Amino acid sequence: MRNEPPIDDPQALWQNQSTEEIRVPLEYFRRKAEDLRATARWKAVATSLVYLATLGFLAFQYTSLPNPIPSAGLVLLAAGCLYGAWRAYRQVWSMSEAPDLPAATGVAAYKRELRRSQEHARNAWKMSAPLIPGIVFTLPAFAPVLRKALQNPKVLLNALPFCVLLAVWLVLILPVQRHKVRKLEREIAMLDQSAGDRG
Amino acid sequence: MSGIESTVAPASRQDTLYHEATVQFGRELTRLASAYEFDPEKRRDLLQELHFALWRSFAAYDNRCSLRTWTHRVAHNTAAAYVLRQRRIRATLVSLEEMDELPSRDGNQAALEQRNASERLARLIQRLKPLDRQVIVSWLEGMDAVSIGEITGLSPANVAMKVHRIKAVLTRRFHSGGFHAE
Repeated sequence: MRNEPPIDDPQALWQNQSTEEIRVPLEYFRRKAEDLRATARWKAVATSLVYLATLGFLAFQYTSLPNPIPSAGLVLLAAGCLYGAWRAYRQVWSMSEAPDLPAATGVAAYKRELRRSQEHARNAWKMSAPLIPGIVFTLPAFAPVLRKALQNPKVLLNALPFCVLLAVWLVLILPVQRHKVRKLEREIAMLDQSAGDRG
Repeated sequence: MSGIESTVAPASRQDTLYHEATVQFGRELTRLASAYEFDPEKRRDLLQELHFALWRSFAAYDNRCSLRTWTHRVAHNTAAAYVLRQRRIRATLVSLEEMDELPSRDGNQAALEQRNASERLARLIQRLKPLDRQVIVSWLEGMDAVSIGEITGLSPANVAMKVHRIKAVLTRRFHSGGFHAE
């Protein structure tokens, strides 16, 4: 056992702890910074390409739909996709820039991390909500296929577990996410109160 | 000896500042990492991450605060982001009130008794929320309330109050964990 100062002097106890030594060349930092930027940009480009491919697919489907209601649905779906693409691009592209964390105080940086978590919790809804009107309008195009499938009890039975899981997920996800967001809001409010005491 | 060292001569202002910071505060950074990660391998990764963030940050260093304040800000902010990324750990972070109410001699606590005092102190600090952790680690490094305020963004009075409360809780937890048995 090491001869350590008692807890009555926690500063000495803390400062006398042993520290191990590791060496990293500066060149490694430079390479890592460049790799991070390259990865983030590649992600931004790849995300845009996926959305562009989806838009291309929707445009192709548009030409094959004779009914105006599903066609309008496809247009709405495309608009939702464009919105999603813009959000994703903005989010991913910002990651390629150098972080400005150091300029912030602990309270500000922690609050920003909490807001990021909060945004993440809300993001799923923000990304999927613009697609809902389009999906609703497009559904009539698949109605005959669905009707035919539902007449077969075997198809119904196979689809049941998926439908049950989907229903449970839909019922649980909203309250859980809301609880998470509220908890984060409370923590942010407490931080605001602490920072408000300054000066 | 600092916790991490560059192996090539510094070239730019960014490199020079980083070199200076690691020479002066390298050991403090290593201790800071121990307040955020217990696992030695992960701690080494975190330490490397801290140094990388620090080196990167010096591209924007504007002399508005001391090198030490800047170093600690960057390190704490990076480490806090690391903690928040790890959801599993985040779920177990507690407020001071919650820490005071935790049972004092559970299985983990008994195992902790076998470890040395500084490791146990680090384990207790690792359970605190990031802001409390920043305050107490800075205080343990010997900083005054004004400097801690510059790092955290809290007022010196608020810092003093927090230090007093955290110290009291940590001391109680430390003693209830059987420190004197070692």
